[in-house]
Amino acid sequence: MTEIRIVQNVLKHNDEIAAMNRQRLRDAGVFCIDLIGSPGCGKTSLLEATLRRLHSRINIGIIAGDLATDRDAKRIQACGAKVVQINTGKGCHLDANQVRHALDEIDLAGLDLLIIENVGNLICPVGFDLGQDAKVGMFSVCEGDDKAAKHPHLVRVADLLLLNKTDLMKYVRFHPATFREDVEKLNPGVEMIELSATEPKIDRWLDWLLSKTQAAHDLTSADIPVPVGTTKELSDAR
Amino acid sequence: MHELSIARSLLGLVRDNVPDGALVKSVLVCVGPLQAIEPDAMQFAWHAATDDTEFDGAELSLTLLPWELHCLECGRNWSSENWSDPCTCGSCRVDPVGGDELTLISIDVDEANTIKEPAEGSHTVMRNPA
Ligand SMILES: Nc1nc2c(ncn2[C@@H]2O[C@H](COP(=O)(O)OP(=O)(O)O)[C@@H](O)[C@H]2O)c(=O)[nH]1
Ligand SMILES: [Mg+2]
Ligand SMILES: [Zn+2]
Ligand SMILES: [Zn+2]
Repeated sequence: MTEIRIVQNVLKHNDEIAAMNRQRLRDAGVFCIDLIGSPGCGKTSLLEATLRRLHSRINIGIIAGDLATDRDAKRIQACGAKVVQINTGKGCHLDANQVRHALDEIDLAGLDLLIIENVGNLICPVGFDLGQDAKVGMFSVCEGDDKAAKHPHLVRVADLLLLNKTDLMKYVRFHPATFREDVEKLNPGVEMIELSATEPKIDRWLDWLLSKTQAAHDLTSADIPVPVGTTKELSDAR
Repeated sequence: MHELSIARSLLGLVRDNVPDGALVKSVLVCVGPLQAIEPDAMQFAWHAATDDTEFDGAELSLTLLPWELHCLECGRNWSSENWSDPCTCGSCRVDPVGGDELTLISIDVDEANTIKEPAEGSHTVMRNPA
């Protein structure tokens, strides 16, 4: 019997493709978010509200991952965004290769922000790097205040956490302090934004998006010398 | 069920690293708690992924790593099954460190034996259900 030492990440192939995606997005100055949350927490509603508020100010593309149907894609399209739909069939998460193919269908040069709505699932999508700049974990008050503690993986890796449906706080048993305590233990200092996608009360989220998008844009314009006249301005984003 | 995708990736990685014709006996993988891997589901997925391949029958040996915790008050480091453990100093300001490991450590091969066609019905034994 011979032992072959390997010591390599099992998802190496996925991570390599994710790195390629990340480079493509960075070269184009696009800020990219992987939005992860349970089914029904309000991901598509938040995208709709976000697009209504921002689509006249910045160019937003959406990749919508869903098990079946193009209903989310249609809802988002109606708000004026370029949408690429990925139907995962039985797959419970998106992987970097699916996103790579979706990127082929998008004119990245004409984009400022790309949001990937991952398949509704708090566990599977966490370990799969897609090439995003930020993983955003989304919860809603209806799911209960113990959900951060029960999904430490997502909370731990998230760059931003959203707590949605705060308009329903008065109808459900949800103690914001309990939720926040668990979050703070798992991911000290992580930013958390409370919002309501359908009211809509999403100003802090929009501010966060705009500042990150602007930063990604500035970084690229600083990195790559662009011939005069071709500089892509973030058209009156503020 | 991200276990199935992981099993498929693992199979690809094993294939890339094994000399032609060598018989794979077992595959050792270390998993951190952030990967949220269910050992039974992982064994099942590995079996499904290797079924009817040259690795049919190769054992998957999973090492599940505990949470590595670090106390922000007294600086103590320890391991635990539970991320929310308070420290022995009484502090609840405990930071989980790392935990996202998903590493193929090694492959045991029998190079003397080249692969034989698996005998009928011999592939249903699930070894090492961690
Ligand atoms: N009251 C309330 N309902 C919401 C809010 N956000 C989403 N919903 C509702 O929750 C349901 C699921 O929303 P959807 O956006 O499809 O969730 P997704 O599965 O995460 O994309 C829909 O009926 C929405 O109208 C919110 O902030 N407040
Ligand atoms: Mg949706
Ligand atoms: Zn999955
Ligand atoms: Zn301590």
